[in-house]
Amino acid sequence: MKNRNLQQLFTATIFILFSMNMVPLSASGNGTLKVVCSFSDYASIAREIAKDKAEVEFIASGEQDPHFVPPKPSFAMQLKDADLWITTGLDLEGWSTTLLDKARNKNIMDGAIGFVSVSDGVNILDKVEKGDRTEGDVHLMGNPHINTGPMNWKVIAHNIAIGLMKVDPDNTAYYEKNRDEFCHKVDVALFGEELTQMIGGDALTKMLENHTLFTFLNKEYQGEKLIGKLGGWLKKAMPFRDKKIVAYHKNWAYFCDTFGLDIIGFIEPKPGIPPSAKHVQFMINLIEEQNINLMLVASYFEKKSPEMIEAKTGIHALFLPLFVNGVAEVSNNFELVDYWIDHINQTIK
Amino acid sequence: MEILEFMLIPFIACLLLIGANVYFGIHVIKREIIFIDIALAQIAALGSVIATIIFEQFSIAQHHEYHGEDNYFTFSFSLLFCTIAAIVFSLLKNKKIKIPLEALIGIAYAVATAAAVIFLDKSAGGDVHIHDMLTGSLLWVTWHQVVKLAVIIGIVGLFHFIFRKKFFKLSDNYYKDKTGVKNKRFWDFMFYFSFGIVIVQAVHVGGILTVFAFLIIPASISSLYATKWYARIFIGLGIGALVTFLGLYFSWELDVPCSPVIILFLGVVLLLSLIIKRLKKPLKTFRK
Amino acid sequence: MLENLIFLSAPIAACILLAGVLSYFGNHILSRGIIFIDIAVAQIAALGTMIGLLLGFTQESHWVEFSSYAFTLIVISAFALTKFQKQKISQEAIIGIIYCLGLGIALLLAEKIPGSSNYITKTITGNILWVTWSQVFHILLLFAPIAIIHIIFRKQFTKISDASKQSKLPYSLGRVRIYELVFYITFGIVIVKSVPIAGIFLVFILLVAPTAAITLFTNNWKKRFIWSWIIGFLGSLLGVYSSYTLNVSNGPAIVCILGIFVFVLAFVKLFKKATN
Repeated sequence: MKNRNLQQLFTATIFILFSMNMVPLSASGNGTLKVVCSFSDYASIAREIAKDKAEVEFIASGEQDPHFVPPKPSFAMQLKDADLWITTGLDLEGWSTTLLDKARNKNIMDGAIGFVSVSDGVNILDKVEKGDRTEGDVHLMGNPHINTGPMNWKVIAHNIAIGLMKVDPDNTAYYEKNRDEFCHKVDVALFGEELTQMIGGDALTKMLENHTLFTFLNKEYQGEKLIGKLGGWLKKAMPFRDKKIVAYHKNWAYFCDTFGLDIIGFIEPKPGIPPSAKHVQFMINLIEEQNINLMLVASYFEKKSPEMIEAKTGIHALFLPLFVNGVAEVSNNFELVDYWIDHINQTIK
Repeated sequence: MEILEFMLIPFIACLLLIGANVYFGIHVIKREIIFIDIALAQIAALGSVIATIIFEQFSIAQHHEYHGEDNYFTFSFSLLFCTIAAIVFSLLKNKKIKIPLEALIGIAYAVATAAAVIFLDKSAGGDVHIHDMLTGSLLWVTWHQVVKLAVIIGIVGLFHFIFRKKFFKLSDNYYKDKTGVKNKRFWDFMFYFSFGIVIVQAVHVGGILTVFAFLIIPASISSLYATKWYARIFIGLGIGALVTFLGLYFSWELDVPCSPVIILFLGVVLLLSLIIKRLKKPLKTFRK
Repeated sequence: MLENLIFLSAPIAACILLAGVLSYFGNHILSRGIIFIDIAVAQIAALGTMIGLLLGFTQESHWVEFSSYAFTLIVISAFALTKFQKQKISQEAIIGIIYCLGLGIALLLAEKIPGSSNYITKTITGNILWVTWSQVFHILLLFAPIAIIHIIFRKQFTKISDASKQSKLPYSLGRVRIYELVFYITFGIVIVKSVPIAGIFLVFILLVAPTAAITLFTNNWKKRFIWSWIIGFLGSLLGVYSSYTLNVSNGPAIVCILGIFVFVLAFVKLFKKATN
């Protein structure tokens, strides 16, 4: 049949064409480290610490659902000659195991020096007690969306720095210096220059974590309350501190814990499973009784359902990017939090 | 040479998948149960979800990755559910049932999906993102999986080869009263059962969408050119091999997941075939 | 109790409407044996939405919705025209091909759009519980003219559906194709409207299960229309009730109830001694 000959000719042509156009092996740079992160937030932090000593890339784009990232061939190639792989370390990046398997890079497998689990040492929220399965939680090891809490960035930075120092011990001092500068930057952003100078970032962070910061700030010092000296994000967030809101999914735990928003309910606690009639009615009543007027929704969710909820209850759905680069104007973590706080302030009036 | 090393295993996996699916595809089209593989895949998935939940109840240690793990327990549950489905479908192909089997297959698919959602809702852990089964992980397939696939296809293939006359007759005469096969229901069950086994493993490797496309499109293209079984299988395989080759290459070049690309190429070939056929007709009358 | 009824009133109204329209179309679909057409249509509609987004329109704009409808109607019209006297490739197979090509393209385009996983058939979820009265009203407005069209052409549509299993067409090929066009375009509009509200699986089951249940027992069109509506509606009610009491996801509950009901009926029919 004519078609068979055509097919054979076609096959031959393609074969010749592609053998002439072999993909060249990527040469790794001139001594710069190759760092690959799962998310853009970690990449942003890594860049602040490694600066020009490393080429930092990330896999999941800022507006993607972090639970599921469809694998592309280039991802495995990126990982193949990476020196460091930076990941959350809880069960969020389930999609990364196949990528790591295919990349077959021994240096970045779990347990090797190139594997950085940034959640080590972070104060994890929503941990499930052993044996308690009644909540039916998706994330058994606690809430993995640690990037939303600025306090966690300091721990993340520590872990990234350790990773860098392991693979590149010559530049230890450099990484330590950058890490400390970054942590100081976070402190100032959170508490304001003045308060950080007076009391010190570490002490303030501890108090914020233990929820004792504001009792402390209500004390008087030299005639006025310390709280007058508060600056930075915490000051900016005062208008919505202690307000009650709902969230679409459990993305915002750390942010809300830090800035005092009380999330009293979730619309869709398990991704992909629409809520039951009972839960829907419960949420509608909750929103009405408590006069909730803000619902936080990560921008990777489709808009239809939140909009339907808006129509039904009068609540305001605020779509926020979950990661750096989720929106064009957010290019690093600090801008991300600025974006969040500004928008929440605008909406919660 | 990197690209070759990268692509070799996926290419072999694809050839195996196409080979098996072209054959079954012709059966499926003749029986007009197009969506059977999606249904069986979902039913098998439900089986593994339930198995995972049971497994979890008995385990003390905290595992946190279930999907993708080739666990013998979950595998046997998937198989069990497929078997039950096979029995049900072969029983319900009956004169008394006046609705097309496809309708029951469709309902089974919807129920299986819904049940899986409900079970996952009620259990702890376990990702609900079932759609990572959609495109599968063809590019990441390992030798181990390919060998497993080859063995399963080999065994089932042998079985179908030995009894090929029976199976051909069964599908060719599916809608006639007399099929010419004794113990029709038994052989029907064997068909669905063997098909189910292949589908479960195929979906593991290639994903639901890829397997579905391999099932329907090459067999459809071949129906445009031939009516005999062997000819159709051959044509389907040939086209499948070519398209896989192109698809894998372009997915690499364009840096996109490979299953959709392969499917698109299959679509293109189908379209071309239809156009060629259309053109041939007026040409023929022209010649006369 | 009263509070619950008020809360559920809009969703129940939506269920009545959807059960009615979908079960009606379902009867035709069942007779024609093109069961999975709505899943294919839903995927094509999703693809249309993606194309709208890619063309630069924002998610909330009407242009995106328009692009979804337009794309769907183009594809479904092409499908309507694939009806021949003798089908080389059966219509269900064509639907299968359309579905998988649509899904394939959607997966490739998905990279370019945020929230891409929302346009893939398995995740086209909806929840009828959030529906408002204004939406119910909109549905009514949209479905009313479609209902009128179908009442006018009921004889033609039922004749074509009945004839689809035989090779003979009841009218000339050209005329059949025109009727098919009207049928499928109205069908497409119904599906594109219903899926975002109810979710793909609920729409599917309302389309197929009620009619399957009644067609097991009778071939009379009138009976089938009436009973499939009743079954669809009651099934939805029961589903919502159990979603409430057992605290399970709503859509899946309705799907399971209606689906299992059909299988039970099928087995009852199978093991009944003699046909009366």
